[in-house]
Amino acid sequence: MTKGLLVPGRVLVAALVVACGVVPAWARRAPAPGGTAVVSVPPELLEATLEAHSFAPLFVPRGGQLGGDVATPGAPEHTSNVIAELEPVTTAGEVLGTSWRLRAWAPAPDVAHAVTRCLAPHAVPGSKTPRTTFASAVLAAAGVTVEVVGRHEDVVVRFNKPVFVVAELLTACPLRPASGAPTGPYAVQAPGRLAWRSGSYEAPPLLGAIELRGPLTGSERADVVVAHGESSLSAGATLLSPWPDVIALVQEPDTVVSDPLGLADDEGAGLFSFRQGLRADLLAATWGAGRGGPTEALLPPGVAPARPLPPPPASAPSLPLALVPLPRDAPRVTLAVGADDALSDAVAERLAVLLRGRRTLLEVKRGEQGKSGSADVELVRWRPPSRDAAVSLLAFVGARAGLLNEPAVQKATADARLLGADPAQRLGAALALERALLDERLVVPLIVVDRSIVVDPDLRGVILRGDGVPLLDGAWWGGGR
Amino acid sequence: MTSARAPWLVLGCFAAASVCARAGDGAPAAVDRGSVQGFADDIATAVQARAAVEGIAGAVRVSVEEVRGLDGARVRAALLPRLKKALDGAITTSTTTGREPLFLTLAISEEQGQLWAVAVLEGPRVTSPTTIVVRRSVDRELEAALGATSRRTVGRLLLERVGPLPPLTTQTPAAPSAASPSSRCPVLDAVLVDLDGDPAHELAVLSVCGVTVYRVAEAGVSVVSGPVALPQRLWPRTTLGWLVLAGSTDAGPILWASTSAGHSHFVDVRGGRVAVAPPDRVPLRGVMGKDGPHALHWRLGSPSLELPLLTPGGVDVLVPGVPSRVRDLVRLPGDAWLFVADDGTLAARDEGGVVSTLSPERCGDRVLAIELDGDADLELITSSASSPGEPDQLVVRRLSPGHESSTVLLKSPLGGGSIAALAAGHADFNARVDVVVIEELAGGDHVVWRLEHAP
Repeated sequence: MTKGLLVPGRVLVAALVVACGVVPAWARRAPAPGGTAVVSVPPELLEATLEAHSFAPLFVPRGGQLGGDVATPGAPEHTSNVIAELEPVTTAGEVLGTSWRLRAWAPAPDVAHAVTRCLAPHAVPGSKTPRTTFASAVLAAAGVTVEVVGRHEDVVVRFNKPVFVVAELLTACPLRPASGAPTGPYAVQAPGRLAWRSGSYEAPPLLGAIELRGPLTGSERADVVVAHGESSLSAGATLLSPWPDVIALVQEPDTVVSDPLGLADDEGAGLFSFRQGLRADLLAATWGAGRGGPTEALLPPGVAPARPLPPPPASAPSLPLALVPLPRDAPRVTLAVGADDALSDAVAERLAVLLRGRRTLLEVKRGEQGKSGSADVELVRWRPPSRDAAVSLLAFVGARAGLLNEPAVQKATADARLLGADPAQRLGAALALERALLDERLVVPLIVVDRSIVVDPDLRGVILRGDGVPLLDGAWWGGGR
Repeated sequence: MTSARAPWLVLGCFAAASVCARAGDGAPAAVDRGSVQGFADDIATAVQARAAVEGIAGAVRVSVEEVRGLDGARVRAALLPRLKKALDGAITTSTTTGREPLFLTLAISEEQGQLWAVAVLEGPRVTSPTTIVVRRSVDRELEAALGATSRRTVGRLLLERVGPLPPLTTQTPAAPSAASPSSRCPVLDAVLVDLDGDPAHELAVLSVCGVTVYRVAEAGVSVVSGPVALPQRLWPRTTLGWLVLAGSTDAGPILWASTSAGHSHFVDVRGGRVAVAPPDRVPLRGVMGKDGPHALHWRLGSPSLELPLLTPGGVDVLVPGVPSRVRDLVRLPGDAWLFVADDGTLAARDEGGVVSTLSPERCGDRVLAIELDGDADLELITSSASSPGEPDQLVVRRLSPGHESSTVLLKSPLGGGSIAALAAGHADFNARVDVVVIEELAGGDHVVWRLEHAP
């Protein structure tokens, strides 16, 4: 048996084309191919879900559920089937980290188009304002400008400051060529139907087809349901996202000064009383399916570890709840609230009660989120778009111009560590930025609530991408269907 | 460095008598400085570095404000004094109470196998709080000293975390940062083999990077040899591997490694050599003959294996009553068979040909059938039927003497990760059978657990 031993194996397995996007199957139950899955998502996720299955991502986080574990050279925390190597351009006189070269397996023009689309705001058909991607918000918050150049077989990305999180910024960025031709494991076969295709940059998927639908109506059923509220898939398994959403108030600088919510009392007693009066625990239990609770931090567990936060005061008075009629000309606070979120609506209603106790009326504005100056206070349901705390927080700040004008925020966002190479230093700078937002009361975190999807128990391997998009690339029917 | 060894020895006595005894016997210490001391030093170094950047200097009052996933009293007793002592530079520990010093407030937590220290440095002389973050992998010393959950006993079964598996590495081309780690590789299978002739077997691990051999000891897991790389092949979406002891020569054990990428190779882990094995076959560790393991046929991209069963010589073995496709197959004493069916059902076929389902729940792909507790009944070790990436559980069942049913003895999650491999044998010097479990955490790190009967 041993006579046939050959020469020592010399091939470095890093050179193996280990498909990132493979489903690591271990001692546990491993996948088998075939079948169709019906997926229902909210309208705001339809395009992202379609895009996620039709176009290969430039990078995915390494070592997680999303795929393989062989790092892309130059991006130790990421893996890719599209980008062969990411390396800094080290020409004389150029600061390290300001210029990066992407060597790709895909055609350079396609990669350049995709990178430009992800790193800079881009036009959207039917919309007058360009769409801000999370990466473009990150760069805007850090005061970074970007230029993308396709050169022969390479793509060069130039920044005006050192940026060492290029792979993180391009995580889940779809390789969408100008032609719109699919590059991912599925192609649109008919409206709402994605079919298995060959020629993907990723390993072939296990499911044969995906039927993608909006919110379910009547007796419609789906195998995967993404919804904030009730689901028709009553017998399904609940799949939680890697980190929860955060519901927070974002105050305009003028509102911080006028302080209609009474948060500025000495030693934090006002903020403490406000939190006590809000009863976030009850709101989360009632409107968040019990999967949440109060929070004092903007970065949720899963994105940032435990850290010291300002201690609660020794004592704080209870807020008066005087439900008496107020005159029409009573002081008003305007609150911008996102639509279609029962928990946010419930928080807004509770805020109205608390404000009435301060003899102030609350005026709710729908669909005004993210527009600076449109309301005194913005109630956001924020989902950190990345597992990287610094990138997530910069995206949060970058999407709100009002915050960027604040001196404390400007000082914190000017910290070069935020886009540095050291993850621990990035996290440290992110926590300092978070602390600045909290200490200035520009942001008042209220509730963390898990984002969950309901999945048919026989459908295995469905995962939630960090931004909440369900991915079925590696999904498979485990019940013999 | 030498001065840092005394606290380690003291801590070792406090934490684990066995470790203390080994150090006292003159055995080499696992590390030059203890992990707790190292963690404190890392925090102090990071604080000094940040203070230098921010231009902060002076005495600080150090406190631990929040502890998560650890024992707060132990953290304050074991880590805080070391940290105070280690702060010796521009930032020092305050010894007075009269002046207004700086404040260094810490939160220490264990999250997903990592130990985190987040420190906030603030005070009247600092314009805005500055934050320092330090993280470190949890090892046995940190577990014992800081109170991380690492051992749990259910009945008379003891499940303990041995420690992190040293990264399975292949060096990648130059990365932008000098600190960039090399690639890590998913574990596919493992087997306990004797590499050096002593009673404690070594752990051979098959990953996409090849075959690596480790020693599993009280102090942790260390690399003995490898990795021996397998030839380059394209991997399908479903990455699977099977590693079985095929035989042994004077040079050492020969392993048979088979993967879903199409590898089928004999691997001489001591000599670092690879030879072609019968193609398209998957060796079964549960069906060993005199000449080596029997094998089933491999199917591209599928975890299912196809009968007929083949002897090492290539002769078909009829196994009536067993489905034509299974995920694992084990021969039980007599003419009985245990198998994981294609749909994940755990079942047995007794000597009379009667097939019985052993568990109402489906299980993982592989099953071990061993005598773990000395009661003459076999124990079945499986993972739960969770999908890759979902938190997994280790399941131990006792098989009834007639092979018609089983009862659950243990069903326990590990560290919230996935069970990557199971292996049975003698990992230590006692006579009891050990089950070694390799868990893969969400970040790609691997942790080794040991399950044994502790009467």
